[in-house]
Amino acid sequence: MSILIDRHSKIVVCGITGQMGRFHTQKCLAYGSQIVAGVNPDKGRTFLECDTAKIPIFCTVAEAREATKANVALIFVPPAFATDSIFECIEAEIPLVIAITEGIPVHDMVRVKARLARSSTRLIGPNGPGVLCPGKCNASIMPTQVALPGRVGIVSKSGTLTYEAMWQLSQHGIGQSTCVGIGGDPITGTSHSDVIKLFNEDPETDAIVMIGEIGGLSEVQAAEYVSKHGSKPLVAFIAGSSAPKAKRMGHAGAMITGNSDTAAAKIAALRDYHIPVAELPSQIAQTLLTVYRP
Amino acid sequence: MNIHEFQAKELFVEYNIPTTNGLVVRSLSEIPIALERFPEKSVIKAQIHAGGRGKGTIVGTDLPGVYLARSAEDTARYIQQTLGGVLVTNQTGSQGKRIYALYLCDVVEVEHEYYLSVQLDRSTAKPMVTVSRSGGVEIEANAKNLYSIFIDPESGIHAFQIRALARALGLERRIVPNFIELVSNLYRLFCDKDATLIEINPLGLTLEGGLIALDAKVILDDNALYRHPELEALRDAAEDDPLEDRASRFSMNYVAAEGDIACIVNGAGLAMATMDMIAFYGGKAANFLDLGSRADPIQVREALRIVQENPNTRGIFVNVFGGIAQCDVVAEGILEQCPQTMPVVVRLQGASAERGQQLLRERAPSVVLENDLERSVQMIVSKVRER
Repeated sequence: MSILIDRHSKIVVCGITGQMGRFHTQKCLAYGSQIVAGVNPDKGRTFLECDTAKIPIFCTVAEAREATKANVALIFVPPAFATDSIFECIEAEIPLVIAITEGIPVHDMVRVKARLARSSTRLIGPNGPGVLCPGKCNASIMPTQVALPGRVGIVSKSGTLTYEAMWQLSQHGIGQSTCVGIGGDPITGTSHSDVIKLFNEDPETDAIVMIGEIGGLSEVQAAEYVSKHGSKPLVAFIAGSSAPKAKRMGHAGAMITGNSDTAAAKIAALRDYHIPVAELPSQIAQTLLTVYRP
Repeated sequence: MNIHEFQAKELFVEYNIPTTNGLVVRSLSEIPIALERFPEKSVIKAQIHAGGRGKGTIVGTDLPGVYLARSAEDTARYIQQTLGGVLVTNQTGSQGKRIYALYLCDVVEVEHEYYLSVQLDRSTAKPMVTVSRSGGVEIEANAKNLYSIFIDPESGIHAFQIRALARALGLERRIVPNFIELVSNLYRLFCDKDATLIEINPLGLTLEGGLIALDAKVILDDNALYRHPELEALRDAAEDDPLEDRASRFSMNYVAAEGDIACIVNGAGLAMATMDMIAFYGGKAANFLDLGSRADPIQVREALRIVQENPNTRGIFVNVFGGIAQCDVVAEGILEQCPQTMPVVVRLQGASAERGQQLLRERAPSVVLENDLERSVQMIVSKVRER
């Protein structure tokens, strides 16, 4: 078992015919993921040829689900149409929706969150690298070559910092159970604490790495959750100690707006909850080894 | 995207939110028109994208960025002394911001000043309306007086919620209907225009019992501008860092910083963390630059050009973790625009790292290659310090 996805996950890719959708569909297929369908409203009843695979394309998510029993949607649709695609997946009762798309208007995400609350769908992202279960299933844009199957869960707002952490852990012989990119937008479908809760309940995860950054309070809320319900060793890294105030640092959500969403404030809050915080991004694996021995 | 106060007030007028009338002055030749409109008193406000104007100072004068002019002569003198000058506030950094426009407004006598804002609350994923009895001051210093309501985005804002805000402000009953209309209009503006923040600080209570927005701050969602061409037109290019603009044209994110070590990194998180590491080892980053997930040679070449145009740059650090981005492709971009005049340290890790390193070793021997993240940062810091 792993969290969110596994070998049996059946993935439908929304935006499969775009450059990014096609590229990552090939990568996920090559990793052994079951990509069972694609969606493009104008290209139903056609196929996407990927090496030896021939993936059927449907006009709607509901049709794709009906025909293939897909239970995971991976969204690469451009930002102006991605909200529609997310709503369509919720309406089609896809249990897990992973939105890679960057640039969705934040007011759209407010409506998406309200709709999610009345549904059985979980949304990961947007503006994140997706979900990877090393050795089992890839529903992400992560570089799988740096991953190693194992028992440490990673949850992160940032793509490349996740890769950095995966690589460091792998170098130390520490494998990963599931790597989850929750995304760098101000409002995302799933928070750090949501994922940590899943890791806590997962018998195949023994320890957790949480990666965060300036902006919002998701990391501090997660620390509060861990202090009450945490059962597994957890270490963290927070990026943006040297970031200026009121400047958007790449991610739409990475902006200091007050005194409580700076890196220093978050690190202090995490340490108050007795969570070890790596001082440098290069010390994530070492910091984990202070509280966890594989 | 930030817009100017006078632009925000134009939006207020469009949405029937009472605000002060005014006039924008962009050149000294417009002084006669200004004096005709304001023959006696006026409030003059420097139009820059930063707060703290009232307490800021215009370089070379002892004048603040918000000024109460008491006569026509006073108005003319203030405009002459400040237009084109540089205003430094606690939010601009020491370099300040140049004043290209002044906004002259009517002087409104008020009985009381409140605070009112609408923004998106990240924790609840809902719009949040906040008020305070004590407006006109920096609101963070005053957090305990704040009162907020949260709005269900599907059913919108309700009168009973606004009445709760009115009670928190201690508004007299006869003012409440006006307040309900004002807050409803503000919320409509917030949703219609995809704003992420609208702040009225202060909201004045006039002697006649009216409410009026004396200041206006509006921040718009960059990601939603594609559906608001009318708002895109409010962009003030003079406020933007030209290097930031150039980077965004190549789908990259650039933010200037105050140090001398230029950073070129793929991914926002790693780019921030790279700046943090430089600071940890005693250096100072000259910028934040996120190449984006793909990082093709054209982007890398342009990134190298951009950071070299910053006159403070004295060394360049490239940190790429290959994934979607291929390190050999990044290396090709480096070869195209590699400077000979300053130290360049490159750390390539992940996809095609070895091939990328080999390319650089063969064709750009002046580039220092170091795969270890910590050592590579230490190396660029010490090389820049040696110079």
